[in-house]
Amino acid sequence: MRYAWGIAMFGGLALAATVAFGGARDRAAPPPPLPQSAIEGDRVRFLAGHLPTLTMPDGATRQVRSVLNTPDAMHYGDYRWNDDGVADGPVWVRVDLAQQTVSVFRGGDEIGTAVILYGTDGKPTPTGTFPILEKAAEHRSTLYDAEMPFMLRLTGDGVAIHASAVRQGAATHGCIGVPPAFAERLFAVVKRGDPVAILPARTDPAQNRT
Amino acid sequence: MLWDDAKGMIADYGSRIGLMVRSSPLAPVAKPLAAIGGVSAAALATIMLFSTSTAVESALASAMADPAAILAARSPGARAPGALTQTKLAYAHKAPVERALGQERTRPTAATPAGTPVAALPSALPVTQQALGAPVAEATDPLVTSPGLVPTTLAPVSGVTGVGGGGGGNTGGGGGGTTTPVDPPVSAVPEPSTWLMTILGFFTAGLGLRRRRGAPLPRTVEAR
Repeated sequence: MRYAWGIAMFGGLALAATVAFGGARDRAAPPPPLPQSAIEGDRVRFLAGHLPTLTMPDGATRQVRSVLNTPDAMHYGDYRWNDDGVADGPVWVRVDLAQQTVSVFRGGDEIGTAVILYGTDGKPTPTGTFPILEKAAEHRSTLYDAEMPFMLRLTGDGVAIHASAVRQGAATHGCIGVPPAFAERLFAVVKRGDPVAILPARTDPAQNRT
Repeated sequence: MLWDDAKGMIADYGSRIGLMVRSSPLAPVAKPLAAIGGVSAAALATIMLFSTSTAVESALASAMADPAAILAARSPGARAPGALTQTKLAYAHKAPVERALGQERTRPTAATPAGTPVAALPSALPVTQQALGAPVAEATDPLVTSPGLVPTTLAPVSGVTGVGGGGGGNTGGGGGGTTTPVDPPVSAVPEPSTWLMTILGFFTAGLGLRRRRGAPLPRTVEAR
């Protein structure tokens, strides 16, 4: 008996809510958003005329035509690379320390992305835009006495992008560690002088050494 | 079709509840009310599902138009604060760490007078000769002919009475040949066998005390 009345009362409430919600939905139905991107294979292409931009550490913006479609979060050591059909153009690298990812762009199209390692709090990775100073496919660090294959030197004091065992819980001495296979591909597409933009790990600029 | 089935099921459920409360005078009212309630609850759920799915779609569409959002979606997340330990400490420009032994040990120099052990040999030999027999005498024979080896091989003869010749004795060196040799030198940290003996001794003492107590005393431990 009690159950029957309970269900009846809940039903009455639900009926009222249905009417209210339904009416509200009819009145305030937003216009469907314009499709501004289309998924083509493993690439999200933005429509011409609505090209979005990415902000660089120095405040400059760069237009993006397409990015790689990675529906799920990548794991440590993962990378994606696809430069099929991407025309030649200036290569630039965007490293996001807060997201622990790197994106390689050629022109406005992203051709590669990976999960990275970066410096500890004691030896932080500098932020800003750095040109690649030196390339070395085989490099042995004199500072740490360790192999650093596919090294792309960014600063005079030794910060570089190089191959590392990217795994959870690891960090570097300021370098940016990328998976070895990704490092090899990256090494092949960049040349000296290509810019590498490193975005800070924290939003608070006082916490970041530049 | 499906909707009719669902309605039938809900009505069926309502009637079953009605069955349970048939004895009540309000049962004929409760049965259709329960059925209506079930139907409207299902309708609410459907509408809410639809409205949320459109919200998700629009959010997805706006996110897909923003490259930064796409890049953020693939991130494994910010680094955990635990991953901040320094690595490769050996290269952190630290001085190498030195560790000293517990006790200073001195090696006998070559200037140790070779004559004294030889002179002391007769006094040490009679004791060991009787205990160990002829082989020891044979082993000590070369000592006399070659005095350079005396300090090293003298130790097992006089200090240790073991037949094996004392493996630890020859390294310690017989610095003092005339006095009773205290070798091997005593280390600051007792050896494992010493520890074992100590523990065994305490154990035995404790066992003895427990046994000597005789008749068990009334236990007062649990009485607090």
